[in-house]
Amino acid sequence: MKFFRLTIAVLAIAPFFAAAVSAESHRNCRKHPGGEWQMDPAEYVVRNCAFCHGPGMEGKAVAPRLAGQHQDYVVYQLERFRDKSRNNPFSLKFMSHVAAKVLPDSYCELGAYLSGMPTEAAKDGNKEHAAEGEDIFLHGKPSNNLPACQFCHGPEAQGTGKFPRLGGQSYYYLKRRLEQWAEGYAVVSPHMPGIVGLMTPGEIEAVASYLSFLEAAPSRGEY
Amino acid sequence: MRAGGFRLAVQAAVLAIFMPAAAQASDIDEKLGYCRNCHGRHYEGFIGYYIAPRLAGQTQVYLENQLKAIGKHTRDDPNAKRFMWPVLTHGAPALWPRISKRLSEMDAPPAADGPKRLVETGRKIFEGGVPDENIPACAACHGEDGHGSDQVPRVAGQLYSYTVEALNDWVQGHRAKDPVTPADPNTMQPIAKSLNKEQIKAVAAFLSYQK
Repeated sequence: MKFFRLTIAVLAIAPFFAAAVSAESHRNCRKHPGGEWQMDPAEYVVRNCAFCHGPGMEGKAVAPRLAGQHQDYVVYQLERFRDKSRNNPFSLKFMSHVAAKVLPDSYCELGAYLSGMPTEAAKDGNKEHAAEGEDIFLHGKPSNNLPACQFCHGPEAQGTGKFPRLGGQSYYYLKRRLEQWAEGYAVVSPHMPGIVGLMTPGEIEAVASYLSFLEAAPSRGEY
Repeated sequence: MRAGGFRLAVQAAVLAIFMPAAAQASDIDEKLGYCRNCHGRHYEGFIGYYIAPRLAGQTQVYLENQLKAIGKHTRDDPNAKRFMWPVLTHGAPALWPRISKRLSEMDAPPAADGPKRLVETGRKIFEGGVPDENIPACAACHGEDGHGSDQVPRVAGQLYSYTVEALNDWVQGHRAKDPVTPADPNTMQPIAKSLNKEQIKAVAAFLSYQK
């Protein structure tokens, strides 16, 4: 009888436990689009994010543009900030506690809202290096076993799902991010460290420059 | 940081002098490492913005034929052009037989990513064809288990969206030349063109679950 009651108790609380576990690992926005927010996402973003990311979430200084970024990518990064697996200095200093304040149930709605925001290219890269960057982005460097970035990020760097939109992102942000993988920070992406390890500083510079000039292009998928 | 290229070249050279067999292994290991970026950690296939097929357990002869056809540009589907033509401009054809052999010996779990509701329909087409429309059973050439043999490729366990894309490539007129005998018409083109969209999806879904 004791065992029976114990079993019932475990079965009764199991769904809550499962929900908590799934909230911490990887959220599937198709299956769990999110509950109702108490605040309109637009208002939330203006109050909590725009101070660093810019009034239109277009990015500012070290904070990247989030406008137009894909829902799955945003959600995945919020989870990585929250659990601190994204461990580069600015992420730990600024984003971990911010992400901790956003309710996990709201991640999908926040990501959906951001993905629909209009976006403009930062155009802050080095124009002289853009042509070299384009060649690397589209074709990689087969002589050095470097894969083509467009395979995951799309022909116009528009991204899809968990592969972020890079087109029009700030040159400074992209360059720093690429350098951080080479410096050994946070795996988070299983693919990027090995890829960046094959790039010279000049190639990083060229690709980041090229990308900063790309205007937003439509992607596959809804967000 | 260009970590990979120079050091590996020196290692390969040293090994080539003292241990020729090991030197050989390390040069294809380097190339196989390159393939992983798009084809998956275990060559099980991978979907980024574009789709790269599963290569694990593919027949050696088919892989060699595709590499040759890509190298000569007789394989011309859009993604082969976009990705594989540049990749192989720096390929070393001397390595292709050993790369193909190594891939043919690998295994990976099936992609299992097709819509489940289509699997039964797909199985019927795979095993029995569609006699009313003169569509032969896929199993007749690709084997009951879908593992293929010699120049007939393995199709079992392939990514659902890759099989759909490949069949649609033939429907759209790509890959029209037989890579083994380019003067001959391609075997798959008339078959793919006889299938309708639903049948293509069904077969692809079924195959994605086959081990």
